Amino acid sequence: MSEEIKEFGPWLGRQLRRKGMSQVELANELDVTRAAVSAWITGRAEPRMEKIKEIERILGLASGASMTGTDIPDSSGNVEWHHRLAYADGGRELGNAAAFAFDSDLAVLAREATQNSLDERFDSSRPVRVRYVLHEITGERLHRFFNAVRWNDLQPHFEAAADGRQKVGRVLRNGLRELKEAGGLLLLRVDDYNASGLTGPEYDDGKFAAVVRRQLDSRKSGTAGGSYGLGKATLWAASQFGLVMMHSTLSEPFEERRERRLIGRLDLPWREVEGRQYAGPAWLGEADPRRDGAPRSWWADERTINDLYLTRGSGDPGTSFLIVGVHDPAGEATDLESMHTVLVRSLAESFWACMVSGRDSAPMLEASVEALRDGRTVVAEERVDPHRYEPARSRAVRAFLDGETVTEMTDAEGVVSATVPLTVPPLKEVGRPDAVVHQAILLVTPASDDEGPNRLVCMRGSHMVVVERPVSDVPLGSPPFQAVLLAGQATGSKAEDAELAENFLRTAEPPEHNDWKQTDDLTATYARGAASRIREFRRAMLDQVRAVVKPPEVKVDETPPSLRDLLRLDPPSTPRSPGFPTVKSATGTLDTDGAWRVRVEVRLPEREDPWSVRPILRFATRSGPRPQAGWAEVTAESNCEVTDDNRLLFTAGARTAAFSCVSDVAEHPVAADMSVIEVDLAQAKDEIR
Amino acid sequence: MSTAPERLALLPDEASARFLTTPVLQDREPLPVAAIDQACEALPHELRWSAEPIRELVDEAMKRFDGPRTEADAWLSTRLHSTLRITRGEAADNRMWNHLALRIAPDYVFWRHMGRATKTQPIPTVNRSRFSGAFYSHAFARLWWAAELFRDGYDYAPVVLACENQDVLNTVLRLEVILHRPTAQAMLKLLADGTLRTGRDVNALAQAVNTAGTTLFFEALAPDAEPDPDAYLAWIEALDSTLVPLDGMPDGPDDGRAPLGAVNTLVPIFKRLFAEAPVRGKEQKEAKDS
Amino acid sequence: MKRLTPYPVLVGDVSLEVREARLDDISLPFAMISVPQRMVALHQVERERWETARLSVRLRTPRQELASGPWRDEGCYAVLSERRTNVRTTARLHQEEPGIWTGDVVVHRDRHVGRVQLTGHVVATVDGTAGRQIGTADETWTIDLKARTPVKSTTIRTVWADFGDEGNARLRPFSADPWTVESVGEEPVLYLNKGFEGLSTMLESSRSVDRAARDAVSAQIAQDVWTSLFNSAVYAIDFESGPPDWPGGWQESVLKRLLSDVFPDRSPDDALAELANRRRTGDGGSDLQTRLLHAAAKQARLPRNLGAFIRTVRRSGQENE
Repeated sequence: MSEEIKEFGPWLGRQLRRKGMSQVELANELDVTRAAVSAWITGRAEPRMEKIKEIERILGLASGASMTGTDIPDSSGNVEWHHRLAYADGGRELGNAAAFAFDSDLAVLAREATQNSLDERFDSSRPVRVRYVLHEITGERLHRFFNAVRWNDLQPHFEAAADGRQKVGRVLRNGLRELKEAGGLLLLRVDDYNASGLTGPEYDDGKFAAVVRRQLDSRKSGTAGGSYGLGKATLWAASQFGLVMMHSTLSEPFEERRERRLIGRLDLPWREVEGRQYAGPAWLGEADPRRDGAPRSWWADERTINDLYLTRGSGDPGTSFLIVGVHDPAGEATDLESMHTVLVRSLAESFWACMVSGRDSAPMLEASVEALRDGRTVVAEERVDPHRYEPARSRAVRAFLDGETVTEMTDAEGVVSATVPLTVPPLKEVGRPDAVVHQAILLVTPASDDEGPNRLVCMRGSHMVVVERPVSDVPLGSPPFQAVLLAGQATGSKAEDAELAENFLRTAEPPEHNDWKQTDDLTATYARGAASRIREFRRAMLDQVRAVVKPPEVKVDETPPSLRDLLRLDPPSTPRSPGFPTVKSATGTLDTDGAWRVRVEVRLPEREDPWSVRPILRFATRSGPRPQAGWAEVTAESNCEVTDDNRLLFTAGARTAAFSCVSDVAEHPVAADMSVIEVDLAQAKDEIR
Repeated sequence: MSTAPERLALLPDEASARFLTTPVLQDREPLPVAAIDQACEALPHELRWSAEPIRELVDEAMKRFDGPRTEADAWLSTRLHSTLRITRGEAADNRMWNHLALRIAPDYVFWRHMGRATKTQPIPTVNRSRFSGAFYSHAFARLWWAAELFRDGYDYAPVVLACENQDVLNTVLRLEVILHRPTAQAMLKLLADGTLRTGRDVNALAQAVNTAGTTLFFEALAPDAEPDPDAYLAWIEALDSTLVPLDGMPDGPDDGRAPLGAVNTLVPIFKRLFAEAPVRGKEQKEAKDS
Repeated sequence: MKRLTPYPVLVGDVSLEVREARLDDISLPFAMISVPQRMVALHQVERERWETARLSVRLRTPRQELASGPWRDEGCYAVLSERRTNVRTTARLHQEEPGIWTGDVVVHRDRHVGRVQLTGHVVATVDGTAGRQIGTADETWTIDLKARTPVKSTTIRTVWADFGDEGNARLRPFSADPWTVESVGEEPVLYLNKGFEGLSTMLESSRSVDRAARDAVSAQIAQDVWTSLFNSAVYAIDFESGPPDWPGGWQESVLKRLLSDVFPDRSPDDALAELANRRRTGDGGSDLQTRLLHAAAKQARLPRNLGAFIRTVRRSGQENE
């Protein structure tokens, strides 16, 4: 019985909140003291069975609802859009500042959202799994979705906001027009699994509030990489309607519950609808009776989740963001297929290192992208394979994880490991006396030409690419390569120097996380000379790359540079437009007599005098002279005539001509089906024999 | 005149070209031996570079074959190969052959290769390439390479067969297809079994095989076994204890024979290629014969 | 010129790559293998006396095309060949996964001297005929036993020497000349006379005041080189055993570079035939020399370099007035 007591209290508390009923009101209805109700809710006491039945009746629930934990159902009355009213001072915000703080596109969205998921990894022994699902819906599906999201209630707000001349107004107008013309809506769901989920209270500090309530707040669990504040703004920026629905499975219970926490957030600019002025944001949720009806998340039923396309693939904690009316703000990807490509590429580019697994270690991240149209697969779920998109770099990281690096490059897949020292200066405040030297790990491996060779990427504990740059002044004769630098905790070291280097480098990252350089934070935090240490580190890594790829010797060439170009002996390139007749195309078959029947098209340089050539039939050989054979028959087709000695006389001024011919079997050096032939044209009167 | 050199040496192409003036090629002026000796680079003191055994072979050849001089080729080819025990890498060095022809045995080159007087060249001349030139035309290199490329392991018998036919030496020896040993041996089999009777036949088969080689990958049809390089080196070292016979057949390096199965696979293919190849003048000749 | 094959062959790319080289089982630094240059340099000072070089090669075939085409019993081969030592070694490759074939080829030191060509071949049974070649790798690799770096030499070899030096028997006669060309043998050489006062200073100078003169002299040297190499290459054309044949080697390269300017309205083969004809009959020699002078000047960029020099001289003359 004690367990039921424990569960009854929170259940009752929740029902009162859902119904907007206070403890006093319930006490009055039941004719008990407020203290008694409070004792039930906090689990200090348990009501008798008839009181429980009465409570269920008052709450409008079936008998036994408290035993099964059934909630007061959601209804249009409970869940609705709550628009924030405009400031009394008349201040206007023309569009969400955060959403437009930097140039966003789908690639940036994938990067930021996935970075957030990585930062929120729950069980660090398992990978975070992110799944991107693109879904285009029309007809009945769209209708059901619109009902679930209460689209009709939003319509006047969209129309009002679309009036504006600002960028957001234009995007919105396009979205509404496309919706009307195409009759379809594009959804993108971004799921993560084995992540924290939107935990924490409704309004106070916590992950939920950071994502749902505040725009530029960054509330991180641990070793932060991206910036949640800017990161989440990309979600709204990717929606043509500024509309994102959120469904979270929590890693830590809130209100005793973990599953199906739902809320929607809309970001529109200032607008006036039916005489009332609205500030911008709106939330889809329950009215919180304890907060003057402010919107709060609700615990949805499965049907609603399903209608909103928010069903999650497993009970693993994490969040699903549904971007309604997804578009690529950069305008590059316009359909399902191209969006799929952009997402896969972006994930591969930014997170290949997190997705590489060693023989005995799981990767940090698994990612997949799929696309559907009205429930049917358009592009099947593609698990992003780092080895496919970044073969050389992924190979380098895997070899490092497996302890299979070598000291000298000897084969096309070998990974050389070397070290690059980083001097971490003492902190200003603490006054740690000495600088510490950390050895970063440099991995170099041969690459193919099409990978954009001779580049260096750098990363620290987050395994996110911070620096990506070409390596210049590569020694002559070096093989094309890719280099990967692992610094700080990416080295896998648990020693103090790795941690210090990790912090030092993070401080040296600008907000875009795309470089290590002097930042205000760096000068404020570290002792003098910190910026020089960064510069030294950057120089040292480039020098080390050059040292690793340098061929053992450099060739001695005595040719003076001024003569080098004049004495080139490599074969000349064939002229695009030669000054003599050439065979443009030749096609042929063997006839039953074993003769070649060939049709030839000729390209002729313009000349006043007509060109005259002899069609040549040669037999290819493995080595030495190629024997010639004669034609039994030459037939003119266009712009030419055949002379008595089987030569061709082309029409003066013609640029193309065609003829066909049949080989003389008696002159073949071997049966025709055993030979490769060459068809050519010769101006010379006759072969010199 | 300087004394005859004890050993072979290396004479650069550029120097050879300077010494091979027209009067020299017409044997109207002697080769400038002192200048040649000066232009040479010495070879190490090894028995295999001794000039004397080669000189002996050349003298013997000129003594034995007073009839058609082409007949000396078969005899000298195997014995030169068995006496001058060098690797293919060493045999690729023109300078050694230049020295052999210009300094050790120019008399043999004149004896064997003096051309006939023609309208354009009324004075008989030796083609310069017999002294210094490609492996297939050089007076000695062609014989050594014929032995190396046509021998079947230690067995020199196919070499004799090949060298008895000048068209094999002049045409077949140059073909890249014969670097595949079963191909070379299969072609010689057609010579041995009488399928090929004339020089024209040899040339027709050579052309047919060379042409068909662009569509047929003989190595796939008849895989060869790789020769044993150590056995070859052992044979070179065994020179110290060997006297190359003048009458009997010498032994070649026992580095493995071309697989018989591979050779036998190619023989019928080559026979068919030859049968289907219209030999220029074959029909006319056959018509005349009948 | 177009080629026709009497049976279907592969259209897709076949590519060949050397993945690793081992000298007597010890891996060679990968820097000795150049994928872009398709070259392996086997010469290592520290390991002069190696016996075998084993190369791991990988051939890629168009997977879809091969699977759906009219071919059966496909096989892939890597072939090592060197004409100078008459060696051709074939290794059958094994299919590692569809479209990827791998295997080892072995270079025996004793059987090679210089540049060994490595080619890849795809063979199959077509219409009942076995052993048909249906594809070759797009690129040929070069395994160079003498090279220390995998860089293909694309220029004519140049050597600085003191022509007056006692040890230079063959250059002594030319000790008064600034340069000479040797065009016999495997590789032509341009000799620049170190003993010719001022020549090396001028040619190696990077000062801008010397540039015009340096380039004009360079063009002059180059014109001499091309003229002399062309004239020796003409003698390498074999026209005795049938239609004139390209001589191969550097001679062929020289002819191919110059003939298109010597006879601009003739195809390379036609130009070669014309050249052989003139040499055989002894006719048209002076016309040929005029044409050659033009072609060599063009190769040497003489008009541009000499023109710039004259302009510079004139300008400095004006300044001095």
